[in-house]
This record gives sequence, structure tokens and C-alpha cells, in this order.
Amino acid sequence: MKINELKFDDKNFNKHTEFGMGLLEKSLRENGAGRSILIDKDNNIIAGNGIIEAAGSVGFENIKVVETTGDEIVAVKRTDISLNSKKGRKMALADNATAKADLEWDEEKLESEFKLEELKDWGVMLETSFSDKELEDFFEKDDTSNSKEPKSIVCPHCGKSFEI
Amino acid sequence: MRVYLAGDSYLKQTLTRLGNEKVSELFLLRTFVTNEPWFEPYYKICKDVILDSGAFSFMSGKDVSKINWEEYVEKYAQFVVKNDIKHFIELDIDAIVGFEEVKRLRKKLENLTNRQPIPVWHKSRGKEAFLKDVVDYDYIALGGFAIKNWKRKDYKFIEWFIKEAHKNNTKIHGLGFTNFSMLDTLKFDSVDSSSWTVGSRYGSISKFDGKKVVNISKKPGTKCVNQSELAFHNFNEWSKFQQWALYNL
Repeated sequence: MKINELKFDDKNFNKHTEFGMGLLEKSLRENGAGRSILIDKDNNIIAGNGIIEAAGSVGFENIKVVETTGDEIVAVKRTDISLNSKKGRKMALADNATAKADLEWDEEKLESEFKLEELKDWGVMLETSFSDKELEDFFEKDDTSNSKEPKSIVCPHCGKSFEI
Repeated sequence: MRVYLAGDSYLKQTLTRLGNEKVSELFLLRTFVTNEPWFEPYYKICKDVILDSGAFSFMSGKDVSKINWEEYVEKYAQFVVKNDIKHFIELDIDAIVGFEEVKRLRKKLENLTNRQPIPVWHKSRGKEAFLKDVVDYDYIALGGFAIKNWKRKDYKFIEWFIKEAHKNNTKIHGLGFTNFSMLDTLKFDSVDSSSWTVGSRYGSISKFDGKKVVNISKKPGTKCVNQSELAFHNFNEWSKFQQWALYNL
């Protein structure tokens, strides 16, 4: 399969980070491809949107597909590497470091798909709690009033703008 | 939770076609305009109607400094009394006349109608104004969602407003709050949405799936041939959601 036959997830919950994407590219360049990605029966990417984006940038073109129905673990065997080598250990580091650095939840998308309780079950805590200080800051900072003489007004109920 | 359907897209035809029995189950949000006699009977037929002051659309194209707000409030009050409207929104024209004047107009509206309007809290009013309103009024609204005065990161504070209102047995309405995915965690007493009108404008079909309304876009290159039929269909689907929300949100 060619890399351009894959379809990105338009509801990807991970917004990715610039640093994380940089690490993915660095790892692909220095170590080659490691862990597999996960796609569905229609070639939509379930997991691995970031790595495919990075792989495309680095110049990977081909995808090896292993079909499975989830009843066995698919292992990617790198025949050129030993864990107990500098390169093997570096790959283990890169695998964990990229996963950590490249995660930034898209809270809006998460909230539109799951209830907060379901997210908590997966250890995903959205920023819904706040301190008294944060609440006071919210009231203190009024960035909504416009000190300039307005030429048009916007109805705060429907959002329509009117010339005055 | 009450989800009031706002906006207008072939509404007159839709309500006529639905018939009074069906209309009597509906919650609508209407905007006050001085000359719209066709809707007046529906203030009594609908389950409930929230009336918005219409002050912003009234200002359109006018020299704001010459608008006679006294007269506007008088006509608005007259209309409220004539149609026996229980829920009507104050003139929250803070951006034009300032909050002090808004409060004076609110008081005048209250005296003329002998009932309480719904004050609309905007961030510029500050915390104290909100805490006073939840004590003084039975029904209040949070505004500014339609113009994105609430930033996404500030949504977490909404719960505080709802709790403060409920602590005082005051109902709270999310004015233009259309983030439906948050409605099962944010316990507004009511919200309004004009989303049902969007479909007929862009040719997408609304479908109530038992918990929410999903929109099915028309295929690229196709054209909607009957907008009023589409508006009728979409309104119906949203009214199903409205009935579901009444008991499940």
C-alpha cells in the first residue's frame, strides 16, 4: 500500500505538538520506522496520524499492511537491531519520548464524542475544575467591553452585526 | 431542560402546517418586532415563548443617539402585557447606553408590565451584578455566547453561575448556548438555539437520532429544490430533540 492511500482521522483527539512532531521526524530519520500504526478496514487511521504525517514529511512512501481482527498481537520485528545496542536503547527512548511529547488533547472533540465520566475512566481529565483565584481572575479581566466609539454593533443574542 | 427554538425559516408555514395541538407542545424564542401580527396568537398556543427585546435589530441602520428608548420600552411593555408573556428579556444594550441606564430601563419595564423581565448577565457587568440578580430575579440569563465573549477556556466557570442561581432558586437560561455536547453536564434550566434554521439555508437535513440532532449534508453538486419543505422537516426533528431534552437533560 502507498502512504497516500491512508486517510487521516478528521476527529483526531490528539492535536499534536510542534516539539512532538519534530521528535517523530528525528526518530524516523535516525532510527527508521518502529512501532506500527492502526488502521480500520477502510484505511482510516485509528492510531498513528502523527507518525504518518511525519513519515510523509521524511519521505516514506510504502506501507506494509498486516490484516487482523484483533485476536492476536502484531509485532514489528526489526531484524537489523538488537535491543542491547546503542541504537536499540535509543529506539526505546524515542518510542516513549515521542508518545509523551506529542500528546495534546483536543478537548472540544473529546467532549463532543464522550461524556466526562467516560473520559475519567480512561484517566483523561479535562480542565473543568478551577480555583477561587482563577474564578476571581475571570471576573477581573473584562476583555469584552469596547472603549472605542462603535460603528457597528453585534447582537449578543444572535451574533448578527448591524451598522449604526 | 427546555431547549427553546429560536430563529425564523418558513416558521409561519411550519406552525400553520403543524397545527395547534402540536404547536402547544413547543418552546420558542421570539424577537420583539412592532409589526408581526401573525405570530401573536402563538404566544398563547405554544407551551412557552421567551420574548427577546429585539433592541439590537431595532438599532440596525439607525442613528443610535437619536433612538428614543423610553418609547421603545413602553411599546415593548405594552406588547408583553397584551400577549400575557411570562418570560421576556430585558434590553441588554449595555454596549450602547451603559449598565446603569440598562438597569433604569429594566426597572421601567418591570413597573409597566408589573412582572419581572429576564436580566442578561454579560461579563462587563461583573460578579456583584450577577450575585445581586440571582437574589432579585426568578429567571436570569447568561449572554455573550453568540459573540464569543466566552472563550472556550472560560466554559469551566459556567457551572459556578448555574450553582449560584440554583442556590437562590433562580432559573438560568444559556442565551445562544449551542454547545449541545455540554448540556448533560451543565444544568441550565433552559437554552435556545437557531440551529434548526441553518439546514434549510445550506441544504442540509437534520435528523434526531434519539439523543442529539445530526446534520446530513447534501451531496456536492446537488441543489435543494424545496426549502420550505426542508425547513418544516428540520423544525420537526429539532422539536423531537426539544421534547427529549425536556425529560432527559
